[in-house]
Order: sequence, then C-alpha cells, then structure tokens
Amino acid sequence: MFRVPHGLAAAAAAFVLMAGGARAGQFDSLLPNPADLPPSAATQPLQTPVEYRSQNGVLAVTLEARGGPLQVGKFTIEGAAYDGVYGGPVLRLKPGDTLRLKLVNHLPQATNIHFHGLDVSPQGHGDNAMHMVAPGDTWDYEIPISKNHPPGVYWFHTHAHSFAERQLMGGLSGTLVIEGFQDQIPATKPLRERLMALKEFSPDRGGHLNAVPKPNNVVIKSVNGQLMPRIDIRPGETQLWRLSDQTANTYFRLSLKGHRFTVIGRDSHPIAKPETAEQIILGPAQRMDVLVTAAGAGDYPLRAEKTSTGPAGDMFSAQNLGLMAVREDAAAPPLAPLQALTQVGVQSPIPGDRIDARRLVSFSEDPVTGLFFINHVTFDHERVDVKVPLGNIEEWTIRNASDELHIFHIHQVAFQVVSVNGKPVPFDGIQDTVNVPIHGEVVVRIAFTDPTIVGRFMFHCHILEHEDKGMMQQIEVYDPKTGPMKDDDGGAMPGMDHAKMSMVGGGMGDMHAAHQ
Amino acid sequence: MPRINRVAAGLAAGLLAVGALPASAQDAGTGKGGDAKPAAKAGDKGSEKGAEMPSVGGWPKISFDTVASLEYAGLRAPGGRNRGPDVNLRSDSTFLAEFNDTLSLDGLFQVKSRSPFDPADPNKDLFINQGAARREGGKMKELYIRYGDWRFGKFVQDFGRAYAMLATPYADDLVAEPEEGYEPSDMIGVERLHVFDNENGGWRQISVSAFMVDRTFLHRSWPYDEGMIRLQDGGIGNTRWPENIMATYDVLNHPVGHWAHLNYQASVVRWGRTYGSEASEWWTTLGGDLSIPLDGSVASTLSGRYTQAKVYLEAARRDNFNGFSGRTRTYLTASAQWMRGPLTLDLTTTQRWTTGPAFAKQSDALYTASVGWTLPSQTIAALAVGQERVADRSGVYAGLRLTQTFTLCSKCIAKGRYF
Repeated sequence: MFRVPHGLAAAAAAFVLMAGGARAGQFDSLLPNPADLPPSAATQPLQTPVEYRSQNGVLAVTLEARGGPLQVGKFTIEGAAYDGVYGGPVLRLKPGDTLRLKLVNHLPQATNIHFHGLDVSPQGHGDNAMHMVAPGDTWDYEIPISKNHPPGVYWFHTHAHSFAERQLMGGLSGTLVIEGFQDQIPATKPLRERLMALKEFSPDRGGHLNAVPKPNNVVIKSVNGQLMPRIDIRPGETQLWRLSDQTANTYFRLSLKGHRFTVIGRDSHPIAKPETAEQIILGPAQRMDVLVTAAGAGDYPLRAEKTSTGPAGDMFSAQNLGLMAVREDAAAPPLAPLQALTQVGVQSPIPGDRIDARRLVSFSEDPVTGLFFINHVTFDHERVDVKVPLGNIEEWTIRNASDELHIFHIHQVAFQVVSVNGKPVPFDGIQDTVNVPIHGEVVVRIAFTDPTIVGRFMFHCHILEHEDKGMMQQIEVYDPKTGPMKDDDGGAMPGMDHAKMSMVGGGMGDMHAAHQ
Repeated sequence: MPRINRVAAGLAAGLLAVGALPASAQDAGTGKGGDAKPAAKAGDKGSEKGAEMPSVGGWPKISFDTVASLEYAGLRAPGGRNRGPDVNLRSDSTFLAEFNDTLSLDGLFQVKSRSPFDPADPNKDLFINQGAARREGGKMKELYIRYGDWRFGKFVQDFGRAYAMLATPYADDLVAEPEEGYEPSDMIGVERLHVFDNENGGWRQISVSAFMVDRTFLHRSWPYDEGMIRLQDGGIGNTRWPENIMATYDVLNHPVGHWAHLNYQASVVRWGRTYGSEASEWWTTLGGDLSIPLDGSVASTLSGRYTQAKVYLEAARRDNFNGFSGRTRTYLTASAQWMRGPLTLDLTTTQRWTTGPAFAKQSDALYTASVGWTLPSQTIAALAVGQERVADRSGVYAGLRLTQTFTLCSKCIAKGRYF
C-alpha cells in the first residue's frame, strides 16, 4: 500500500521543490559522467597554455583575474581565470631570477596569489598569502628566486580565505616552472616535456559554479583546460609528463591503459629511487614528474579512476582525461634509447639528530556545523598559532581525527616524511604536501633554517573546502635575535592590515563548535 | 562524536533565508562588484594597506542542509494490529546563519509523515516504526543563538550517544522520543561549552546547561498543530523555570593504539520536579565507541576499500522514572559495525529494564540488523530488520530506506556575490 498521510502532500511537495528542485543535478552522478568522453572525442592535441619566460633575470608579467564565460571542451562555464586562460598561464624562471607579477583584480571579491612550494619570503610583496587584493585593485608581487632554489614544477593559485575553493575551482591557478629539473636527471634532457595541469569545475545546469561544488553535483575534470586532449607520441618514445593537481578538492588515481608510469619526481623534487606503477595518485596541490614510454601504435586512454576520500568524504566519478595516441612518424629522426636515470646532486635528508621541538597538528571536523579544525580551533588571521625561532629543526605529528582524508601543506618550507602510521618511511626526497590516512598519523621533519622564510605564513589542509571552513593555522618564524613580533603587530609586515582583512570575511575566528 | 541525528534548521527559516538571498545579492550587485578600477601604472606596487572590502565576502554566511529519508517499511505483531508496509517521508533541515566570528543562529526543522499508533492499539508501546509520539507534519525542533561558547534557545541537549550509530530506519525516532529513548528534546535553555586546549588525548570538552520544556509557540507543529504545552500538563522537564541541569564530558578521537580512536561520554541530568509527579528524575549515562581502521591506507581509501570496524557500548539510567519515586529504567546498548568502502553492516541490541516499588519488573529488548550501501550520489540505501519486545508485546520490522543529504548552501555569503 502506498500511503501519503492526509495533509502531508503539500509539505512533501514543498520539500521536494525546495530540496530537489533547488539542487537540480544532485542525482546526475547516478548517470554517466557527461565529461567522460570516448576516445573518438580526442581530436585536439594537448596544448600548453600561454607561457611567460624570464628574460635577463626577470619575469615581468601582468595577470588579470576576471570572471566570465570560459570554454572547457563542449562545456561553457562561468569561471574565473587569469587572463581568461582556464588551463592557467605558465611562468618559467631560472634559479636566481626575479618574478615581478602584477595582479589586477577584476573579480567582485577579494583575491590574492600564493606561490605554492617556493622557498621565498612571506613578507611584504613576496609570497604574502595574508594580503588580500580588493576588487578593482592591483598588487605587485616581487619574488626573488634564490640561485640555489630547487628547480621543478610549482604552481600559483588564489589563497583568498573563505573563497579559495570557489576561486581555484573557477580557474584561478597556473603553473610555475623553475628550470633545471632535467639537469638533475640528465637522462630526461632529450625527452619531450609535457606540462599537465589537472583542473576541476562543478557546473550547475547553467554553467555556473555550483553553490555546493561537490562531486555528487558533478565535476568536470580537465587537462590544461582541455577535455579529452590527444597526447601524441611515437612507439618506443619516452616523454616526461609533469603533472600538477591544481584542483581545490579532487584526488586523482591515474591509469594509462597498457602502460606503466615511472615516477621520478614529486612535489618539484626528484625522488631518490624512480618507481614504476600502474596507477599514480595525486591529491590537491601535489605534483608528480613521470616518464611514459609508449608501446606499439594505438590509442591508450589516460583515465582518472573512481575515487573516494573516505566515509565522511567525497566520491569522484571516473573520467577519461585524455588519449595517448601512439603513431609512427617516418619523418622524425630515430629515437635514442633512454639513458640510466641517475641523479646529479642527490638531496640529503633533514638531520634528525637534533630535534628542537615536537608539535601536534590534529585535523578534526564537525559535520553538524560544517566546521573544520586544527587543534580544535578554526583559522583566525589575528592569531599566530605557532612561533618558531629560525634555526629550529622540528618534528610535527599530523593526526587525522576524522573519517576522511586530509592533505597537509605548509607554505615556504618543504619537509621530510619520517613515518606514516608509525611505520618509518625511508628518505625519498622532500615534499610540501602529504596525505594523512583516516585516523592515522604522519610525522614530518621540518627545517626552519632558511632566513628567507622569516615572517608569518600558513599551514593547512589543502582540500580547500576544508581550508575555507577553518582547517588552517598561522605560523611565525622569527629571528631569535629580535624575537617574535607582538601578537597584535601583524601590520609590521608590509602589506598586512588586519583591520581591513577582517572585512574580507576570511577569518572565522577562534570558533569552537560543540560536538553533539 | 557529532550526533548525526541532530539535524538542524528550519524549513520556514530556510525559506525565509533563501528568499532573502536574492535581495542581498542585488544589494551587492549595485556596489563595486565587477566594476574594476584601471590597472595600476607600472611601478605602482599598489596600496600598502590590505584589501578594502565593502559588502563583499563578509557576514552573514548562510548554510542550509536537508537530510531526507524515504522509507518503505512494515511491522508485524502477533495478536495485534500490523502496520504497513507503507511509504513514509522524513526530513530534517538545518539552517545556520553566521553573523560574525562568534554569533550565529541555528535551527532544525523536522517533517515526519508517520503517525504514532493509536493510544488504543495494543502495540502502542512498540516504538519501532512509530512516529515518536507526535503526529505527522513539521516542527521546529531547534532554534537557538550561539554566541561564542554559549547557546541560548531551543536545542537538543548533548546527553548520551544512544542510537547515534544505528543505520536503521527508526534510529532517528528513538533519539527523538524522550519517553522511549533517553534524549532530552523540546527543551529551551542555555548551555556553556568549554573545550580543553591540549589535544594530545583527543578533543575534550565539557558542557553545562540549564533548560525546561518548550512552552512557547515553537512547540506548535504544522499542519497538525499539537498546541502549546502548559505547566499543568506535567511531563519530564516541564518545570516553571529552567531548573533542569545537565553536565556532559566528551572525549573525541582519543588515540588508543593501532590507529584506533575512542570517543566516550559521561553525562548527568538532574530534572526538576514537575506537576503531578512524586519525585524528580535523574538521568545518567556512560558510553563510548571505538573505531578501528582495518585497511586505512591512503591508496585503499582512494580506491574505495577503506575498511573499519566499530564497536559501541553505552549504559544509561533514569531514576525516578516518569516521576515515580524509586522507579528506575535502565538501558544497555551495544552495537558492532563493519564498513568497507560503500558497504556498511550493523548489528545492534538495546536491553531495557524497568523496576520499582509496586511495579512488576518489565524487561524489554530490541535487536536490529542492517546493511547499507552508499551510491555515487551519496544516497544511502539501507535494508534493516528488527525484532522488539516490550513487556508482553512484540513485533518484527523490516524496511528499506533511502537517505539523501541536500546541501543548498554551505557558508554562502549573503551579501556580495561570487565571481
């Protein structure tokens, strides 16, 4: 018997209209992913977005952040991008260069830029993610890259507190390359390099970003802003694919039909021992350098497999990202065999014989209030949570006290992963992000020894939904000769004005939420 | 552990808020939105001051969630009336408006389509598949102001974890039904929360609250109006003043080795004496749950193979049960859950004993089993069976439930607009 109680019909109808109607598309994830295209759709070659290269030691560029319609394959989305390039502009510099970047904000809200992974100053017009650029305003970033700066693929993206998830998903990111990685692994120098920026966008049926940009409201994944691009390669050819996950929330489990990846770099740095794998995993903000050697002529889909981030997390549907098209090219010169993957200038582990401090960073969340915490508080831009004297080498335990994955990131300084869930991790290069298993703990060793990083900056979960909702804290590295800044002296850092910052709506303050 | 059944926010309040959003957006649209200044000249590094943000990105922020359940279930009771199988809908809508770092308005509006049994029904005391003592319709279950670590207004007290783990379709009703379970509900009062700084032993918090039965218009329901409660109606917590006092200590995610996390809670409520009762009740509870990852690596999680076992145990007691001096009702609930990827299996039992002077001991028992599957739309499909005995009555339940969370807004800005 189907019974609708008397008088309930109106309530039920109202509910359905409100919940179902307003969330049209909620159940689209039960249907085939509209962005999951067949190999036959791979007609356009993979393209590198617009590149800017430094000249005479300087890269001067103006990037205009602007919202508007953007084309991602067959989808027209209402996104926001730098210079209208959804795939993200590429900045190329060399160690010792200076980046002069003028940001013009045409958005209806504040924005800024964080230069992810760079070991540069967080102060003033440097990599100062605390500074917000108002709508219609401009800001000049000046980022000197030290001569001994590690080369690799980095990236830059909006770090607008409270808006970071939406702005990044809209398209506000780009790739930043410090040249020289191939010099560290000479065998890669003759190889064709392909930059691949992985992006996501969650559109509603009008092409606007969903109010709740969740994968169960559909997510379009793309490479350099392209849907299902064709990656051309010759049989037996090896290419260097330099992947960067420039998404707000998406984890990728990538597979390439009939092929294996050889991982040679992670988070801009070469790894100690190359690894081969059928699948590679990239979480938000992570980068990976892999070698792909093509098999015989044919078509091989590059696929993002279905992914889940845990019982309280998200489920991402599978999608073909691109198609590796292996074709003979009779006009091309014969391929040289790949040389041994030896490294020049091998990285050293961070010494662990002198640990100056040990700290706990506990990620937790409350699904009732929707808040995300580090050590039971949400982000407050007026509170410095950790003060570290320059010169300290510290070990931090990152704990996941929740039922979904988190990914730890700290600005300005890379770290060494010492152990995961108590199991020691052999040194495999330094990194600036690490995944923290559900209910697990990761111990990282951080050397706060570079005078360049003196100042205030952040550490946070790089799933930007979590960051925006509080899972971020502020750290100050200070010169022990002068001591830390006064707690209310943030304005001593040029470019910071907390009184105005509070109007940006980024800080959620020191807010507890009852777990009940 | 956050009480998953404490779904919040009001349909009415939500509609009000949703209706208010376009006006706010329009206001912002008349401001600086999209009206960019000319780019600065070369060499102009921009203002040394931080961003000036008129009306954009500030407060208030609005969140609106609805957890909706569609249930097809039936009850078979030997020698008594059966029920169903029939289809019922339930929704719990939470509304949150944050005005600044410390001030917010929270609400919970609940809609049920399932009525309780007729008082003359011999199975009226079987609470499986009942409507939690109120007729179908919608009702404001919570509406309160949070100011820092304080709460003022109508809210569900943080007492006990019972049934929080149950994936069974009737778990929500158990929690919402103070006479059958042990959840203070429909109370108005004030609460102070304190969270301890050191998190080495997990998140630790203590809360103290004082409250009384909601005798305001918030008790009314729609479309079936239950009317207002009067002091003379008596019943638990129906005191003249908010003289019912509760203290609760929670520890969340306390690492206990092998990456297992323990949550536990101790709580006590001293209820005031109400109209017509012999004595005031005391409620006490002690319980906890242990989550044990069995396959919790990042790779396993991402490939949908995260595996976890969870066990749960709680004891609770109501002294001077229903206002009768010396009468007690004691509850013991145990649950075991196994989860792998989208699959969840759950076994639960609740044993209940009622004793007292001039009262024949009554033993009740509830056994449930359920299997749930989470679909890519995050829809949870759960199949559950249950068997219950209350005194000399018993019944068997079976049901299928689809549960979906609709998030309309998650900290959306109410003034200004996104790109």
